[in-house]
Amino acid sequence: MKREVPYILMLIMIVLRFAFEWIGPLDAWVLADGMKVRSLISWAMTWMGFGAFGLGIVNFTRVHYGNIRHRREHWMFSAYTIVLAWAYGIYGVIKGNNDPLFSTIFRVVSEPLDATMFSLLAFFIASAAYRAFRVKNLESTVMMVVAFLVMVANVPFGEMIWSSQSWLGGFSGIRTWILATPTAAVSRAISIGAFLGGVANTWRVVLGIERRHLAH
Amino acid sequence: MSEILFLAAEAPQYKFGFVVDQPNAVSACLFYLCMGILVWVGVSRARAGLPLPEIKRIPGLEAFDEAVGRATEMGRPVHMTNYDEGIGYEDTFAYWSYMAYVAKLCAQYDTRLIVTDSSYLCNAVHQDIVRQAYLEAGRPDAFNPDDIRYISGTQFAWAMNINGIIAREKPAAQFLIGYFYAEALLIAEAGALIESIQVAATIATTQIPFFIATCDYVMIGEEMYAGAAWLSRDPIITGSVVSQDIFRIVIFVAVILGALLETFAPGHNFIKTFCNF
Amino acid sequence: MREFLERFSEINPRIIYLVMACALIIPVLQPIGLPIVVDEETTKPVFDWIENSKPGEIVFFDVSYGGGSNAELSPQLEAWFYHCMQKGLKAVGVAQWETGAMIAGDLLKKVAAAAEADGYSAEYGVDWVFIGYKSMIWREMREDLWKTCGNTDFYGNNFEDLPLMQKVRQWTAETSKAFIIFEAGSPGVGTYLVNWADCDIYVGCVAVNVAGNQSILRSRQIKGLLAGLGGAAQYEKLLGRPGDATSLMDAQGLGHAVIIVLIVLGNISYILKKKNG
Repeated sequence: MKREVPYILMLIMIVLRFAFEWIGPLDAWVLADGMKVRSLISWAMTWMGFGAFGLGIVNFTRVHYGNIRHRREHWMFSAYTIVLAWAYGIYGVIKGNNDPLFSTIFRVVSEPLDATMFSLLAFFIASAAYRAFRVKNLESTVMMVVAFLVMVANVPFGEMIWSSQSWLGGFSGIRTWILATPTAAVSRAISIGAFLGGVANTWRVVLGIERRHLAH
Repeated sequence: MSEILFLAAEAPQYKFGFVVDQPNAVSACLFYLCMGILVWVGVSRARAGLPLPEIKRIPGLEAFDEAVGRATEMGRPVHMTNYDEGIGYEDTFAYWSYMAYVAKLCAQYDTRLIVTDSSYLCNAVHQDIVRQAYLEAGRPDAFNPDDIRYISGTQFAWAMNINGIIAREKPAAQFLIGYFYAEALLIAEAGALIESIQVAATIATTQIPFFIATCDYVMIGEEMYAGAAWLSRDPIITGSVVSQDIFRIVIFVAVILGALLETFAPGHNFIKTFCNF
Repeated sequence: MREFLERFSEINPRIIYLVMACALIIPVLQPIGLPIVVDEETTKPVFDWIENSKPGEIVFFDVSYGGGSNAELSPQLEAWFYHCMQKGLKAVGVAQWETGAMIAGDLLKKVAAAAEADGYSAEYGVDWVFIGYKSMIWREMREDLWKTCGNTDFYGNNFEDLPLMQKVRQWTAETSKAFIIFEAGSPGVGTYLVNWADCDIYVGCVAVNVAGNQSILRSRQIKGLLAGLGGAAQYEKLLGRPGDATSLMDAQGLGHAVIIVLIVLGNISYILKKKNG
């Protein structure tokens, strides 16, 4: 039963979701109070997401509490994490996200931390590009040339060297063509392939072939 | 019953009398059904032992053994991760095939494996997968649940933690399998700076260039799924990958035909009409 | 010189980071004033959409980014929102990311105050409303925006008390033909391509997503694209109101230039080393 119940629940949700999205009369089914049945199902799924969030909070607390209790390496950081996460969360629930202190903490702590990590990308891409863009073979040469053209077009220097008003639209025109034609084509191709993989995988799950997520 | 159900004053227009009147409703459903049939046929053939096309060897797949071997020689751990993972995600399922393979290799070579997760639900599954791999390799004592870590669901908190692990543990091999966002370059470059062998497999088109710049081997898009099938050696998964390939050929023909029709006979583009139905 | 070039490929990454840091910080402290060229295919359509809209028209926007993308997308949001207030449009905002809601909650008030100081009407509840991060049940939002958003906005005001919301019971093409989404990843524009395909969708995205969004731009699924900080700077130029994006473009330009120089020098070094065997 431990294996069958999740599978059956999954099938029921898939059928319900599909049926209420696709079959017209079900899509239009309205209850006496004016609420659509489809909306009820959507709300139920939203509440399930909320339940999953609750599960995450419990698991997060359990993991870090375990670190503290067994005095594992860096257990102090787990203590900070639990205290700060719960305090901030409870405060936000009570006071709302418009509370000055709540939004100040977000603005002063979370935003700069996120921005700092994101800005590391600028340095890392410099060292990665410097290391990777070498004329080792044809593919890497082509990659380097294309990256070079797009980068030059993205900066004002490119416009100064070869204006967009001149032949071929300058670097800007070349960049536009690179983005519009080969990049868009490859992006679509990879997306189609990835999507097909996703659909095939979905069917494997629905047909019961894929069972690892049920801990088989 | 009439108290619960009442009809709208004007009956909406349905396709075939019951399908919602939205573009792509019928064609998308047919597409899904055809894919389902193909998957079923492919898997059935695999189960019956009938011959299936072979999956071509992808260079990145051979690097797995090489990378784990290198880590064993250097006495450093192997690190494996996926950022955008979730129980229902297709790339997560593919990731599990890779994880089972790498875990088995690490168990056989007695190499430490660190798996970092951004999803607590997946963390539970990963613990099981790795434990099972160690059990099958006859090394249940070597399994360390503390090495299968749930980090954080937040992008940069996760990335910061991984970079810390890379700086401290200095893994000799890194496997970045799945869907990534901006944090991809952060962890891949951190790994490149400590000169670890890195193998990436992703369907995230925006991150492919960064992986190519920082990783030794990169598997793009479909190769990730094919690689999962190849590594798992499971004919059932191979069967479904073959069905994907078949449908891809169908899409390829439809795209070419549709483009030609739209160019030379726009009023007779039945492909477009069907897709919009 | 030759010896320097040969050894350049072994340069310590820390020196690269230091040079990069200087290239990024110095222009911020001492602006250069490099020219900004407006992209006619991506930025101009977004500007023209607002410029050609009639006063009183309702436009929606979605704030789907976090702290990491703040530097690129907040200038876009700022410039676009100011333009809306300048043209007398009525803006209604939602957020698919909770962090986006927190960021926009403060930012929009600041921009509205600036617009009012410049003599334009930007009264909350009359000219603009920010709903924030809500249930995100999309099809239901189209049909009954009030119910799915819990009848309250981000600031805790009841929709009944907001005159603008009296005109916005539903989010359909009749209410608002076009809207813009400022996105940094997932969930992002995909939500709207599926559920609001009948509307004109404009996107403001981080630079890394520009390549991925090209396919939907070229297929006209989206009508315009603000590409990262450059797109924001171009919008500010069209608006005639230089802001953060314009001042930061110097840094971005110089940063790109440093990377280009590093690549060139790195390749010269590689070729010289290869020649010397």
